[in-house]
Amino acid sequence: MPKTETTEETIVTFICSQIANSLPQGTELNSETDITTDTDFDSVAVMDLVFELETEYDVSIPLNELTEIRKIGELAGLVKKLQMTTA
Amino acid sequence: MNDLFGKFSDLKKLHDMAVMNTGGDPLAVRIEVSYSPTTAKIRGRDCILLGTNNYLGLTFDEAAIEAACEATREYGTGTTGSRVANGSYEGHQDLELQIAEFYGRKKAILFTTGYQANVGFMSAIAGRDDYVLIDSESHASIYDGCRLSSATILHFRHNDPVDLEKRLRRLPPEACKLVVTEGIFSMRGDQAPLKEISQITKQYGAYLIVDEAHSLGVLGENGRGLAEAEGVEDDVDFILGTFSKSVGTIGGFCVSNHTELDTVRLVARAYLFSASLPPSIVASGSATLKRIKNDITLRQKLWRNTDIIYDGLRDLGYNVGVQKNPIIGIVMQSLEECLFAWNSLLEKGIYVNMAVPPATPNGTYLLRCSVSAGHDVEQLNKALRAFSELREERLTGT
Repeated sequence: MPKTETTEETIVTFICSQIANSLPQGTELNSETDITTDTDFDSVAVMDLVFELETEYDVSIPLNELTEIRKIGELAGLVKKLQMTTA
Repeated sequence: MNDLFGKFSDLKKLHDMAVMNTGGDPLAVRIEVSYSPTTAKIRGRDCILLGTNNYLGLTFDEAAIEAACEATREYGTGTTGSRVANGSYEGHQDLELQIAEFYGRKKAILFTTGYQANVGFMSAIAGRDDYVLIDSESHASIYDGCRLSSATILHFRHNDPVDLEKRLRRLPPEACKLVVTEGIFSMRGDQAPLKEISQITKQYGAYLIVDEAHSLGVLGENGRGLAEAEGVEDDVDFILGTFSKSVGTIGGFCVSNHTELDTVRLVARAYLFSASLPPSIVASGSATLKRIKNDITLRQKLWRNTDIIYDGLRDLGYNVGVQKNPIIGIVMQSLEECLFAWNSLLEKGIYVNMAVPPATPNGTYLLRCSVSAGHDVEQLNKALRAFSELREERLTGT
């Protein structure tokens, strides 16, 4: 999908689908879900998620910017910002 | 008042479980008597040490011990100062010359530990407008050094030059870029594809930094590490290293041909604000570094021993990783299995390291073994018998 057409909502959906694989079926995930406290994602799982996002959206996510991220929506926003920066 | 340590409760539960399951704290093993580089008394039992980083077995080198004793008698037990204050003795400066000469480089800087070398160098050298690309399985010291810098820090997939290139391509061509990798990675013992990485780094005008902590004394005809073994020493701009493995003591360094390397002495906080190495350590490090350079038989014996253990474990059916090196990270299926195996081996008189997430790649549980030139064949065969019994115990449930 061209970078300019990818919306934050699309990225949120992608992130939720990646996290959902490791949670009980039916667990509700949305942009307000806190990745570190509302899921059982540890640092290794977060890094794997970051790699998946980088591949899917052709961006490089600075590790120093990840320290500020808690929620799925924040992560999606960061990916969108990076996409626009490199477009 | 909030519970200051409450944030660590999950980690503490994991640790408490490990202690309960092993009858002792695997993170606080007490070496009661140290007999040799490869044997010690632990929990009242004589054990073979198969989990040190003592690759060349030089911790009991006679010349090194003599040098350390003489240096202590002559210069005292410590410098009590940093390298920029009263902590630079002639020994420190001579050792820097020796390290530089060992690597065939113009300059070297000695730090108090390898961790401090990495943290100090990376945090100082990488600035606000710079990009640092590190292997995703980099040692904590590299991550920590990068975190302390003001650069933009990116990771690339472990040992993946294609992924590295993808990321370099995304960066502004005019930006200053540093690529960091390791000679031998500390958990599973795999090597970086340094030839490919150096080609890509050069193509994109980036600096290449290699941490040769586990490859000094181990790889290369002269023991200079992976860059030497791969024939790419000229393409590596900075080598970081440590004395706490093959050199058999403690200390860290950075070597380079860069004419401005000495500037690091003015800006690296781990250099400026930490006491320097005691004279005894400088003297023993110098002695063993000399031996590493001159005694090729150490490396030959290390690799003969590596063949025995790696091949033996592999033939027993253990998941030992694809690349044969003196570090062998055996993958266990679960924390419970890892704890059982570690404790069982210790009861059989074999000490290995236990490594669990988040210290391990891909969330794996590892029994980390490391081979030494100091091992003899009888010790290695005893270790293999223990691993064989362990396998039998797990298969039969006894």
